[in-house]
Amino acid sequence: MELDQLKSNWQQQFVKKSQDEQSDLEKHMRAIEDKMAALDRNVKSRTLYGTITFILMLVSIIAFSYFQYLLSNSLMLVFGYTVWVVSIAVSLIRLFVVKRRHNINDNMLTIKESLQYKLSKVESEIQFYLSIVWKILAPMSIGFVLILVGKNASLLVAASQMILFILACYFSYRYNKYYVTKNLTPIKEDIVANLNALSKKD
Amino acid sequence: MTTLQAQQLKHAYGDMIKANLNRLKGIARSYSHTVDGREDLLQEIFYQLWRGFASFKAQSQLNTWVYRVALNTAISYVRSRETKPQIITGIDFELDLELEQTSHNGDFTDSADILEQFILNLDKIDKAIMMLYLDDISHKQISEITGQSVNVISVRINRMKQKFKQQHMGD
Repeated sequence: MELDQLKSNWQQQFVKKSQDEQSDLEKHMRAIEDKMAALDRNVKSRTLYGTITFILMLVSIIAFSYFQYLLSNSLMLVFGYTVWVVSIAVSLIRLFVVKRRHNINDNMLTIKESLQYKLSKVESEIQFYLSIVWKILAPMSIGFVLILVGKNASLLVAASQMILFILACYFSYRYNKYYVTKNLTPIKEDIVANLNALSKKD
Repeated sequence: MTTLQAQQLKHAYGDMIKANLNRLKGIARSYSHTVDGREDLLQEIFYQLWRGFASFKAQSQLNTWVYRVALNTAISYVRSRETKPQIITGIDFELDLELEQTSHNGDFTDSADILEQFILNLDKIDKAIMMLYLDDISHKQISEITGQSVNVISVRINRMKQKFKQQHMGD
């Protein structure tokens, strides 16, 4: 049996339109359109809520730091909170830039371009997760030390707070690594496999 | 966008779906083995088409664009299913588009079933090329959809034809 012999059967089944099916579809169209609009609204509102949350987080941290500054004249404390605010602001900007860079509808590209785009997207995501410790938590820990020094906390309190902070950093690092290995690496491997399948000629 | 423009867009989208529904159902069937999966995938394809429809600028033919969006969505959908099962909640979505279950346990006596089984066993990329080929899409257009050269497309199609012939020799 030759593949071409079955071509017309396939077209009959999946390409040509039957009158019955056309009329049957009419009644579904409005529902499809409404659902699409609802999904679109849902995505837009989630994006809006996400942006508002980030802005509120930043504003509240700045406000908190400012009140700390009013309550204390310690320069160390001010430096500490400034480091926190700056590191959070930088990480938010990085997130925003990554999101903007990958904000196109890649499904409209060719399959090859779309896979390459998705690969760069997942690689940036992996890079982001793996660099959280060095690019966000490390500067924050410096800020944390400055705050502890600025507060003139007792050695016991300072040590216990520092240990808690280090533990939080460690578990954050472990979780990010786990997330990358469990969720992002398989996606990357699959995209690479698809790209390889696309370029094989034999 | 004015209300009139939105209405026109909706109508144009509806017409596009109507003209391509069977193709999209064919893609959903080829990329998912279950009825639920097919319906999920079809919904996702509809959504991705809706997302891109307003910005479609006729730089390519409409059916080339539909195939690009649908196949990219299908390949991503299979990946998301393989790497992480996803449950979409929050929006109730019932389409009832008669994506009937095909039994793959019985004998494939019907030619459509033989072809469907052959396609189901291809990898994601070959599956896409095979469906385009079966729809009589030219090699040039397949190249525009997949991003591969026309020569590579020809080689792959011939390879799949040979494979099919070997599998069904004597049928």
